Amino acid sequence: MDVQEDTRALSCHGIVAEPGALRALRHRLLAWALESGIPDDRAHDIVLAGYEALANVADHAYPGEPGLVDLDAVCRPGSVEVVIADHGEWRPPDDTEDDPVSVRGRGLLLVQATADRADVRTSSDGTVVTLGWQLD
Amino acid sequence: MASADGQDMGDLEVSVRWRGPAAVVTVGGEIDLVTAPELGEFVGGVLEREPGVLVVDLRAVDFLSSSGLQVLAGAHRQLDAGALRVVSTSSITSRPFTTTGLDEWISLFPSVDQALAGVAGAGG
Repeated sequence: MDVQEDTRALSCHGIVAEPGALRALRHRLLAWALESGIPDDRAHDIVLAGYEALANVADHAYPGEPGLVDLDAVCRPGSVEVVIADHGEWRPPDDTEDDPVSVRGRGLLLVQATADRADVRTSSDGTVVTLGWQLD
Repeated sequence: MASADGQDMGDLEVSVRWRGPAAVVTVGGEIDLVTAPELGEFVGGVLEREPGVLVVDLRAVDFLSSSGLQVLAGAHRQLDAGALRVVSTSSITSRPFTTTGLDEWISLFPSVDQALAGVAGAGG
């Protein structure tokens, strides 16, 4: 695949979806975003949304033992895309809980509020979360 | 800001001091899936002493995920309405509250003194 000079990519596949590894992955994503010249505020949005999507995988996709997750990030002139894929089952937030101060589902809410675009696609192979941002 | 080669072990700095009936918990570091359990345990211990007001100072926190919000929402549920007050001066710690609407129940303050304003016996 041709990678244009003005495109920067990060690819981290087969990461174990457990807290320590996801923290290290978050640090890599932040370092990559800042090195790509993404403004601090945007870089933190990207890292928060990306981490919440990853954390949802750790929490929900693999009941029992941690599975693997893939993260791909691409920075093009004017836009950033982060794709997180797992091979488990995405569990949507439990909306039967009616306590307004409940936090179940807030992770996903954070993803949606922090990204300009958040798309979740689930298939029998797992779930792909695509997050997009426009850069000024 | 988190460094690119940050530690992957729990490395949250948490302390508590009391000002009259108010407990002021100061947190530093990254609140994520690694450290949220540690924070939850610490806050749980403070709640056992039944503070009238709990101030959580997040100014030295450089990452706050929903796992941290979950700890604070849990504390909110154990306290009287308005008794949990969060000190936050950066968007890194304020935005997770505002984007999820949690700031409707848990008020954000720019300083510990402002968070303690009006608390009888807290001084300051």
